[in-house]
Amino acid sequence: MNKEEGAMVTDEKLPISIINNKAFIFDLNVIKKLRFLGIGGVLSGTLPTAPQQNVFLGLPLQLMIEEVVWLVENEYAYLVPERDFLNDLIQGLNNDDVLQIQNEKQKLMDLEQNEKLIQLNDKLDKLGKNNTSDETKLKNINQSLSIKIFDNSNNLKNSEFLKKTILQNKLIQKNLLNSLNYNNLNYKIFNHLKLKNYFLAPGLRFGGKFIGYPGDPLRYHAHLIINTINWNQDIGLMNIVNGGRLATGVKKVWLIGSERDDDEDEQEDEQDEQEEKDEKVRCFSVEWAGFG
Amino acid sequence: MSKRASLGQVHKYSLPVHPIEVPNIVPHNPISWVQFLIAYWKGVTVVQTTTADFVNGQFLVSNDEDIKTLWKNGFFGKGIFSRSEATWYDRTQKRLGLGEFKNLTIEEITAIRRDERKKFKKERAKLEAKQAELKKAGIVDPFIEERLELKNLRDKDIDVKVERTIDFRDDDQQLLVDGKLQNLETLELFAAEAFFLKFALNAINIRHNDQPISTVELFNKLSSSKVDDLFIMNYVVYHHYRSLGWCVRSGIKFGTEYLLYKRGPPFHHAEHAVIILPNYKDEQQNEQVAKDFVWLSSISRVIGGVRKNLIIVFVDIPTQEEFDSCETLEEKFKLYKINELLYRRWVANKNRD
Repeated sequence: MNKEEGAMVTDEKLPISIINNKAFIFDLNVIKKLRFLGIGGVLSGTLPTAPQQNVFLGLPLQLMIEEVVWLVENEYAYLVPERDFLNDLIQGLNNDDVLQIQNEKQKLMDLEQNEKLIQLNDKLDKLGKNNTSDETKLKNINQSLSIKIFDNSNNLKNSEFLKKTILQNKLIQKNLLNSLNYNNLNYKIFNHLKLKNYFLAPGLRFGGKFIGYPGDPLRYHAHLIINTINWNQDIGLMNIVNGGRLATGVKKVWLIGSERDDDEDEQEDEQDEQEEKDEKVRCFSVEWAGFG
Repeated sequence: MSKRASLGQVHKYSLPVHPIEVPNIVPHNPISWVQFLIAYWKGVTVVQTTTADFVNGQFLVSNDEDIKTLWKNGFFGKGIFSRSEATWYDRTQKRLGLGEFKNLTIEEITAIRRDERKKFKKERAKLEAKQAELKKAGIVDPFIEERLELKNLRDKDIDVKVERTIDFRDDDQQLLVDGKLQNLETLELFAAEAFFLKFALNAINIRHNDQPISTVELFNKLSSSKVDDLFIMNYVVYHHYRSLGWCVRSGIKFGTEYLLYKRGPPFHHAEHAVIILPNYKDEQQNEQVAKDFVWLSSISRVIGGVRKNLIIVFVDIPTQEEFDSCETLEEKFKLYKINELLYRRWVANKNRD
């Protein structure tokens, strides 16, 4: 899925809930949209109808931290903090903020009142009994206005306000992103491969950081087992043997990626520097030869 | 495979040190007692001494007899042109049509086995395609006979009667001196092997720049004076398993330090693969060298894939002061302790039997 199509799918930013420094999606529609962006995640919730197994899992969907960072940096999604964070936020509200929230609520209240009034007037007009003043009617309406409690946070009256606050406050988003404690190198490699249209998933079961699919995992087998390594770190012959065997044994290619050090750029000749200016990430693939 | 001498006979000893052989004692036969005592008295422990050259950090054995001795007595070293046993001479002779026809070398057996495997895979693919087609038509698995045939093909003994095909290239002329093939292959020992033969068994003479070199000199050349030197750790573990009777060979092909064979490569596959990690007294130091889980899981996948057990050996590292205060090598090595941990990849669904 290329970027343009993805953008079409998500005209609105998608919410990612951050709970205990892990990222979750609770809304099926959001998951669908993410899939078009090439973000798969891992389903991690027990199915209510089959709670004694863990082969098939359901909502919520857990995202890799690199996926979250990618979504936020590319402005496809925003982060929703957990309760503690909200509590802190409430502690930090000043009078103006409270007034603003009250106004917001009052507006919603007024809107509903007016709606009810119009409905009532219509009804009474039909019956031809519209002779009491608006004030008494409003009193009656206020008595009957119910407070609804929804089981979905999207329907809460202050949801829009919260969303606006969280979404527009760059500092909150930045802090939330930093709270994930992500490894910059891992993200760079993730981003690099994502730009090359690879679909990435967690690679632990194959002994790597990521595994890379050439497209949606439902259509393709993985082609890559990806590990990241610091530019000056000793890879170790043993690890190369191991990685090569590991990947070739499951018909994949072992890939190591790293980001070039800034200091070393200066030593390169100019032509090389030109080529490498935008792309500092370098990847190498290792295949184990000699298997029959 | 029919060999002139049985494998068990050829590889009777697991080290190039042969113990005294004594006859059985029959308790009610006093003559057997006398025989026993004479044999015990007269017998000597035989140490088969070999010679290796220490050049550019490599230990090379070039004498043909020494190569055979080291291979037969504990499977030491690796032929530089071969997979493990130095078989280049035999293989080349066969290829050039010289000398008598000999048994197959391991490299040739592997080639044949892979060929058979390819054939089997082809047949299997054919059958699977057929099955898939019939499945579409609604018939389920009518191929019991074919399956059986396929199974036979897989399980059948590999036919080792291979015809001798001679492949003589122009360049091969250079290999011959007076119509005889020169053996160009040497045996390479890795550092721990060579040091074990020298230090523990005193069964090898090591020459450096054509001068014999002593054990202590060799040790100083192979290791730094640091207490957590890689060579020391590797050697301690090597010595540990060799003294417990395991045949220890390099595990580089599986990305581990060592492989442990019960008797040796021709008898069984290796059972265990060994990786070595230091265990410092200082926890902070341990944290610095700690590996992540991805590393462990990738090694265990590879080892699990070849049906071996992974042994993580933690070597307790003494302090530098303790190490420096010891004078002899024996005392130094005694400071190290070994802890073993068997690690297996276990999947509930797949490990029910």
